[in-house]
Amino acid sequence: MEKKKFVIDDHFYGRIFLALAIILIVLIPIIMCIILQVLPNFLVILQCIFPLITFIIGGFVEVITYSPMLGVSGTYLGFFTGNLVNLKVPCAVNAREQAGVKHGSKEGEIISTISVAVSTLVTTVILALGVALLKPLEPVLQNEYLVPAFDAAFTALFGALAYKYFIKDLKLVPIPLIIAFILSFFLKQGTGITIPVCAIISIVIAYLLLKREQKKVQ
Amino acid sequence: MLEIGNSWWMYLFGIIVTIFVIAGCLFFIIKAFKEAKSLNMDKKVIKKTIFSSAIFTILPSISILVGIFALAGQLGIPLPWIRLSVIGALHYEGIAADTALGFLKEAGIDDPKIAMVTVASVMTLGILTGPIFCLFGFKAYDKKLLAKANAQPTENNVSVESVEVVEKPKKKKGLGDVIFNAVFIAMIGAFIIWDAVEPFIRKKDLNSDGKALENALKFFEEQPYLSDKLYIPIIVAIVSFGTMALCEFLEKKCKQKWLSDFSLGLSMIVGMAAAAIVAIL
Repeated sequence: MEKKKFVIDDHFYGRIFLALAIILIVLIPIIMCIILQVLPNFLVILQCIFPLITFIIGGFVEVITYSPMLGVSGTYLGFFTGNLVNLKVPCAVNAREQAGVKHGSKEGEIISTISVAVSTLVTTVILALGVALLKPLEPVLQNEYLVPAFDAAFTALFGALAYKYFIKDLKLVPIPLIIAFILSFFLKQGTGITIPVCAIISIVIAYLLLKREQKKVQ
Repeated sequence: MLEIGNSWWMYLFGIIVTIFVIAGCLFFIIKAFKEAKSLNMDKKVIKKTIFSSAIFTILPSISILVGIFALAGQLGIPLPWIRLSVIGALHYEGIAADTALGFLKEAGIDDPKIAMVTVASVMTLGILTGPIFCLFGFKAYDKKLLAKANAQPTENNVSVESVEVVEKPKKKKGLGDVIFNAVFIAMIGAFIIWDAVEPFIRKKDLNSDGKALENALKFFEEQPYLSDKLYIPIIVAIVSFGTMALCEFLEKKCKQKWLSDFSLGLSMIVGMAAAAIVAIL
């Protein structure tokens, strides 16, 4: 009975915290619109749905996958502060292992909560200090010799991510890349067209490869 | 856009978010301390948890800081700071920002104010499903798991967590994983190919007329260093790809586990450095 009370309490405070947090971050672009006296381009926002669909759906999957490892309060805290896979989940699991507490016990819940909260606190403080140090570097960021580097930030990000994801399923890579090249170079289509076309082709190929693999296993 | 991105009020948003997050963490820590006290938990265990969690977090936090630095040249410092402090992750923020900027460019919108609010809106809205589902669905899901755990004949009050943790390794590569990876590969591939071929397309368009010529002139006006070095994006993609491959190799084969936190940020910085060096040469 006592355990149940503990869990309900944490849901209550966790939900209040998360609701306030969501309001806070949604307010930021709204206040930006008010200050700058412009509206965002809603068509562009709609167009972004498809390319970002994996993240949009991923949000649901993450709650189902990671919440059992984070505990109740840790989940609410973790889902607001992010960096779950690379930071919060391993940190909480590591803390519980070191403390030798059982998953789901009251002690486990307490250790998870402290672990996620301390981790978040440390990250937040390091980022705030780092930003304070970066602030004087603002002119450096606009230095003419460094402009090509910052302009290349996204290309560099995709190059790095390409290795991480391509290596997982090499058979899937060539055809979408060839299609993307044809659409981009010969038909001059931007990512608005190439991403959905390549994604559909990639899904079909992935499905066929999975079916073939399953048949082989049978 | 950088002027807006680095404005004082954007920094103010960052400070407010930081204070909110710190207050929330302290609230949950104090609450957990009280619970621990009521259960007579060993203080040493609590201290050890605090210490180990803090140490565990330092390196990944520095890698997040590297991510802020990498995105700051395009979006200013505060927006990546806010986004990577709450909910965000470097790969998502980068992809969301670049997707929005790409569509804005395609739509011919060059007003930095509209660009900034659109990018901020896309980065915020795209990441909200997790927290919203957590807010409305996690309690019910947790109860369901609790019921599942209680229904199982287990030893030592086995919990919701262990039910999931035990089940997880048994999972096979499902259709969901395959589709997710397929979409991701297509998306990253499309972005890289576009970044690589765009300078060549624009160069060709310099010989055309109308809107194509206008766009080409604007493209090289914004990135003049590309006009005689059209291949820079290709080099950047190859260098960051290679750096990531090297990081993964060192991490797995040479047991350099610490690299796993830095591989993405480091690969980006090396790729970006390659762009600056090639542009100067």
